[in-house]
Amino acid sequence: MNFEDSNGLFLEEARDLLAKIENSLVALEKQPGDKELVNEIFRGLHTIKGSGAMFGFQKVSDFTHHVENLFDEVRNEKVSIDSRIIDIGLRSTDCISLLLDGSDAGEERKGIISDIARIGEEKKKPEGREEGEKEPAGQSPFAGESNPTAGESLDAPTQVFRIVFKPQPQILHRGVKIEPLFQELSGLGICHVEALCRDIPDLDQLDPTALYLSWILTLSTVESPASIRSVFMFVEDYSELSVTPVEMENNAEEATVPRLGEILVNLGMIKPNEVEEIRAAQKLFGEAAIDSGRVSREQVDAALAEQAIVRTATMEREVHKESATVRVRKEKLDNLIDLVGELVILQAMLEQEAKGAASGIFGTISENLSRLTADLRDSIMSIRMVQLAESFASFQRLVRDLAAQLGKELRLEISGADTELDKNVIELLKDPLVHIIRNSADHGIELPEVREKAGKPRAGTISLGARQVGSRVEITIADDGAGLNIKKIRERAVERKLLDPTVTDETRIMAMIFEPGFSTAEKTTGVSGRGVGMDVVKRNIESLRGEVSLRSEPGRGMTVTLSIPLTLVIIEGLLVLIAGHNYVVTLSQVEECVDLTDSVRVGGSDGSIINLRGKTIPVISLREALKLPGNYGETPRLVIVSSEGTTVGLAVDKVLGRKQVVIKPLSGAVKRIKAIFGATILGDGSVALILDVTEIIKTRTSE
Amino acid sequence: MDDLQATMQLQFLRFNLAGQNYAFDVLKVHEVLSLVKITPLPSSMDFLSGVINLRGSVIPVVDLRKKFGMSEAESTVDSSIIIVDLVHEGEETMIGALVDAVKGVLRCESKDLEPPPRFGMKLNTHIVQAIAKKDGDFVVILDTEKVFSDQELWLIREQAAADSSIGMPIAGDQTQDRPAT
Repeated sequence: MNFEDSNGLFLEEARDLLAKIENSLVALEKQPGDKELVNEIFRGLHTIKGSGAMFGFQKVSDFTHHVENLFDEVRNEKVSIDSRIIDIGLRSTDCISLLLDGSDAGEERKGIISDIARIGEEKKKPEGREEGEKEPAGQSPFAGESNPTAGESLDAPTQVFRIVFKPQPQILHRGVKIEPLFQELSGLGICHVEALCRDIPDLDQLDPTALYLSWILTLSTVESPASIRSVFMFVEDYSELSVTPVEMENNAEEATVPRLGEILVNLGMIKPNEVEEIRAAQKLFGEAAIDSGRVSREQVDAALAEQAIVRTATMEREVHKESATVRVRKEKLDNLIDLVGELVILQAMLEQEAKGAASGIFGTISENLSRLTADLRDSIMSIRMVQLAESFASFQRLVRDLAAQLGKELRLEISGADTELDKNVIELLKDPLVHIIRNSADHGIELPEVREKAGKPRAGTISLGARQVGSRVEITIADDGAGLNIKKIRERAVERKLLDPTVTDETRIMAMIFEPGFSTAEKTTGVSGRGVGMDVVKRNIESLRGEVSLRSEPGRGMTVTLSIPLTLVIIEGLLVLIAGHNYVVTLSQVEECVDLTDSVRVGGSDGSIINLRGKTIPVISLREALKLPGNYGETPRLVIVSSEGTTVGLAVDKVLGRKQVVIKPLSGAVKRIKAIFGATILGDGSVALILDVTEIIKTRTSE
Repeated sequence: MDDLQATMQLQFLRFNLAGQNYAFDVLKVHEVLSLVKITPLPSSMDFLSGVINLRGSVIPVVDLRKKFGMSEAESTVDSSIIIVDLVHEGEETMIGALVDAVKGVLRCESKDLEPPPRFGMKLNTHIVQAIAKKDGDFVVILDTEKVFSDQELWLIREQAAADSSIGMPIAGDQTQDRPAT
């Protein structure tokens, strides 16, 4: 970690915040009365401003300050929310994002700032309105944010927090400044800062570059603990921080204010029995505590300050639940997963060795290691699982922009946003989803007038939904537009010699829209020309080992369904032997293993149908399917698998056992061979192919 | 430019295939392996021998004898796999070439190179980059990009794409989040 890393951290956080602000803005346009959304936007801007200044992004900070002021006015209901405010908000997020990328965006910045100033003037405030770009924070016309009583103008109840902040001594080496943090905190409400000096060593041991102070802050604010913590966002990793609400009753009677002794006990400075001892001395408690030498003057002062603040505040108690989270760079996580992958392979090697070894203890160790590895793998995979919510919400902005561009009325409905998927998969999904939504908006949804004539509501709806189906996630993008024009697609496909004129199967005709460059649009619009991009969709989804399917009803709309595997890295498999080579069958598809004896063989000229407990099951010879030489022995083993509702028996020479395998991608030509979807490396270093059971069944049943 | 090229030292990795001398540009060669166990692929392209494990990566191997329509031969102790770096459709990838024997590095200058003859070659001339004449010996220098990006080698991909109806899955219901342990 060095200064550059901290910068990177800031950029990353800021981009996350921008995305959240953007989502809140779009949501706010629909629900202008939602105060929580305004607060969220304000808090996000505030954090960007504060941390921007702390990490030396002065332009970002200065600019954000103006936008923040605007939203402070909105928050205080001095400016009402209309599409103009939302526009300024969205333009500002774009502009901040440009600034973060290192661009200057001077024109755009000035434009936004003068727009903000204009809104301020319209409100006819008595003070001067002139607002220059370089204006220092404090003199802006909207000074609400630095007003210590800002909180009181809002309905939210005021709460008192005790913040114990103990930075690591080396924190200053990271270029972090502490004072701005306290300034920011005072912006949130009434704040009392007390520094603790007890850790300062004697002069001969003192490192002049180290920070030995810690602080106890008492803050009375309407903000949530999360937004208090967000002030410390960039220093939290290098310090001990606790933010605890101070208990309060519903009224401010003298009796309910916590006693000094209790506060000191809560701060962990003295023990309850010591309180009693001191109290027994019948002095003023604070004085007595200091005299007893157990606490210092500063600690008592801090406690007294807290007492005072609690005493003055009247409010309801809020119960907050906070889930502790840690931000980790994605590369670190990917690296970890690679390492686990290697560990799994190594563990497989060890297991193989242990089987042949005479020593019993070796076997036990190997077994335990195998269990541990499996647990480790599962935990790490679960870290990568992320909810789709954030990714989905970002499409609200897309749909809003599309509606404006196309002159259509569009609504985006989202469902199943809590569905979890591998983070890497989510990233790869983004482009295809953008393409599909664009396509729906441009070609699916009709113009408002056309829709009205057809008896449909003026506003078109695009629904984006996700759900987990077994080991896959299904994402559907449906619109209530005109649907695909099958006739036109067919004509164009035949014309371009992509389709045989005799084909009438609608599914096959619809599939044409995935052909590269295929388009039936008479003219291409700025948004999309049908087909452009749809081939990209298909390619991207397939690279995730996913499936794309289409459904369309003329006049009712089109539905695109993407089916994606949950993860791409490690699977549990069954290792089988055919013609001297190892193959892996995905364990989740295996139902059981049986012997192909005469007793189960019932039909087919070559005995290719068996009767398994009354169920008739076809047998597929993997030798044939995989073009392998040789013949099966007397009684081949059958692996009973099922996929998409079909159950078949796969004939193999030998079942070798269960194994967790790391999927290695195949490159180039090999990637597209049906019947296999990947390869893995076994304990002895050889490569085993992972069979694509679904594809094998499909190929066989279609013959 | 021509002067520069004339004096430039060029290096090629020489190998033997059915008694003939061939070579790849050394800059395209990643490394040379002695023959390891090749896992066969269920592919209709019989020159695609299969895949091997190269320190954790799975690399396809092409049997150059079969690729060039030469007679098949048993592998010997000299049989080697030359790992070649390739760019296919913007993707950096590696591919192995199974050859009879690797004969070391051939150093020559560009004046030793001649353009491939229009005819009289067993091979399709477009995959031949040049003919090197050195010490009375002829070496056919192959263009790696053309040898391995050859239409037919990647045909499997095209075929798959053509076969695919709308919902062609590359994989079925194959993965799972948390396999039962």
